[in-house]
Amino acid sequence: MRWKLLALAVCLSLLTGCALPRSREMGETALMRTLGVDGPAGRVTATLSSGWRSKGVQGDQEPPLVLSAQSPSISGAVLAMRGMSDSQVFCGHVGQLLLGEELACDGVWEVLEYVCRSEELGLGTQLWLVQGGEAQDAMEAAKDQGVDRRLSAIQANGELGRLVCTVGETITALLEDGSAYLPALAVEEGRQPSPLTERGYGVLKDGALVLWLTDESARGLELAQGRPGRELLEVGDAVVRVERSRLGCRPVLEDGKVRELKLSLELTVSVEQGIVQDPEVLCAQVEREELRKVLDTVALLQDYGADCLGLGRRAALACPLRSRQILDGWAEDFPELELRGSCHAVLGGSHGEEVEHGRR
Amino acid sequence: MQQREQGPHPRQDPRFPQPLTLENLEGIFADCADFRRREVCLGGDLERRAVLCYVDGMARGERLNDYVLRPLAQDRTLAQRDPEEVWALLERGALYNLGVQRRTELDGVVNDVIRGSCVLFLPGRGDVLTFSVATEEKRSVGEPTNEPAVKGARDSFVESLRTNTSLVRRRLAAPELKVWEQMVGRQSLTNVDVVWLDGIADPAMVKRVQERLEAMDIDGIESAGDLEEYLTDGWHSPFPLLPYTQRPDRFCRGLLDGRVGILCDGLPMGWLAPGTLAEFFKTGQDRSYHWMVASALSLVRYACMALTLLLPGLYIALVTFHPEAIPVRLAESIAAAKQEVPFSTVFEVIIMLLAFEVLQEAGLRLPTPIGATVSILGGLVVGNAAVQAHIVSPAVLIAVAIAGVAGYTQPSQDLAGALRLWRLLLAVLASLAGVFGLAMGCGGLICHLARLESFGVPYLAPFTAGAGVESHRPNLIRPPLKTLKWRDGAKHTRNRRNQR
Repeated sequence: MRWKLLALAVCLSLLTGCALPRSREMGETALMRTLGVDGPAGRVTATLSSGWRSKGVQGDQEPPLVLSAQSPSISGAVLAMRGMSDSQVFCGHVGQLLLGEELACDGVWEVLEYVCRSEELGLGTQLWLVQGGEAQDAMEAAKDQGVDRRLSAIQANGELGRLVCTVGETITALLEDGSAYLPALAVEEGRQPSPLTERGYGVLKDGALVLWLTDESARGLELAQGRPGRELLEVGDAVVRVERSRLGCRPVLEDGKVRELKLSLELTVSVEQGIVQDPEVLCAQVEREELRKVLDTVALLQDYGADCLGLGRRAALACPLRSRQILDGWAEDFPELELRGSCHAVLGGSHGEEVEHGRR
Repeated sequence: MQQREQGPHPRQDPRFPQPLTLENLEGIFADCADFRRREVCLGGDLERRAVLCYVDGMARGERLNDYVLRPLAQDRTLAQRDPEEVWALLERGALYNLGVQRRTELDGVVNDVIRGSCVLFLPGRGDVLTFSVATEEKRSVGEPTNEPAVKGARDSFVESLRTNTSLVRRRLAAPELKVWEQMVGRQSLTNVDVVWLDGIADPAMVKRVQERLEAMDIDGIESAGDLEEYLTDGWHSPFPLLPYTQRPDRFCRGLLDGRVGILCDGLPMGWLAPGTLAEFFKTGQDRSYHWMVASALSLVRYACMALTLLLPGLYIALVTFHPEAIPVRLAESIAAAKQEVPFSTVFEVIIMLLAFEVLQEAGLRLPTPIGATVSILGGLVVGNAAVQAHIVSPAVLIAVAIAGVAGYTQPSQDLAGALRLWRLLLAVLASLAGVFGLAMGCGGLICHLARLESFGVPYLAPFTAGAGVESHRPNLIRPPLKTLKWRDGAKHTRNRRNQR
């Protein structure tokens, strides 16, 4: 009886349509690391790059394999590239996805949907925007060093912090907040060691690029997200760095609508160089500077109605009894909100003692 | 025809139905060059004679001379008393011997003579006396070869059954230690002892073992498998169901846990029934080390079991079917190394697994001075040459080597052998369907293990509730001894508590 049931189960499993996985030999496979997508909708250009490859037991290096193809759809372009190489093109290890500016302005939902449906790509793929250019140009420009290596280096060593967004996080942000931010790159010809450089962040609203955040506005974004990065501030004779930041958000409701948003920024500052003459003055100056950046960034986002910081969710969490009310009206209320900010900085002493500055 | 109708092994009981006479005994041992017959004059009286029979080599000459022949020849009372009194004196102390048996059946006499006793015939009597004068040539108690003891006793079982039972009695001096004996094997007439602690072991378990021994009707017991395969029902499974040990201390620990022990004459090991999966992961050193160290080592063994089973199959599945699951740097390294290898990954792994088995088998067959050298040369030279010649990739070599070495951490060689078989099977399944095939294979393995029983106790009893009784002890680790107050419930021991 047991064997009959087993045989029946095997037969039924074959009827489900599930097939055995397809095998491939790794020696005949080209492992692609970076995918770039450009172009307006209907005329997509996809580019794949493998990065520097090893060959043989001794690990001899081969130059990166870069393939590019055009098609009305992304999957069509990727399929066309599979036939261009003498090796099997495998996209299961693609860790970075670059989007050209033109494509981003048209909307990124098609790309995100392609990644969701793809058997090989994953939701953990990092997303990058290319400012003022195309992803194909960026990948060709960084070909010598290897695009994947350059992007990894930017992520690890970037001065503007390490806010990296994956496909899954971007989709979540777009669905929950209607807006998301992505790290941006730019191609600077002649720049050494690589022409590919970081360039702030791009803000998406409803899936389309609406705004670039660079310099201080990018800094404000990082402070608001709690990832202040490695930027140094020169305050008097001292050079300081914000080690940690935390943004609190409290709404003020009036007649059932959010009229005001109170932002409270907490900073932990460390002295990198120099002598601190007056810690209180130093902290006050740091607070002014950093709070201004955050408020300017939020104001900029208000102008475009793009709440990529998730302030609506934070405000709803701060007032749980009114959370539904806040979230339902947030899209209308956010651009009109009055902002009030406060900042509190804590300075780490040279012997590990903390010196606090009073709240303003 | 008659033999075929009665089956391939017709049994005759008694084996020698003839009357007990000297002539019949000599007829049985005809063509036996080591059978000896010696006439003795009782007390120096030429008219009173007795005949002594023995097997040369089995009977010890000094004992025969000093304790049997000398008093027979020199004791004057044997010549002066009447025959009935002489017989009574011989049976009760005239001869200096501990073991004397009065026999009336030819079967018992033949058995005693073969085992080294001498038999004394007096004319006109239908019964005889047998005296135990067996030689004690046997291997001395040494160190166990397969279970080295770093901290603890270093004695080991030997081929002599009685020596083995004495080793057990030295450790368990309780009079409740019972030793039940059964002769097994028509040609070998091997004595097999069932040992248990009365009041602790489950009587049903004891009875089960005894019944199985009584039901064994074979030619003889010359190897461990002759006993194991007949006692257990696991012919369809490579997993061992009866753990054995060479160490008396471990054997006694099993008896204290409520197990039933089996000792066999001629085999230097003791078995403990029932055998559950957890028993094959324990060593004799577990209770000697600190419980944290012993627990860590136990976890390492379980992890190595998983490693040896799954690593080759997992390698095939990931590299061939699911390369996206491999970290990218490792994937690039594997892809680079595989570029110059002409064979598929599946072929590489299976060939390396088979090569590993061949090397191991060759190492076992060769003499010790050569075996080690050949194993090292085979492993290093052949493995290195194979990589240099691009026959296999280094990653495959490493994966198979790690799996092989992990298998050697298993205390039980029987279990390690079963794991090797299943390792190959899982590799084949992984080559067919990737991780899905591997998962199905693992599911099949678990189902297979769950179906096994050892003397009525589920094989996975320590980890499941299949026995219907709570285990009261974790089995992955070795807790502090003070907390192990309860014997394992799966064995249904009569006395569950083992300490205050």
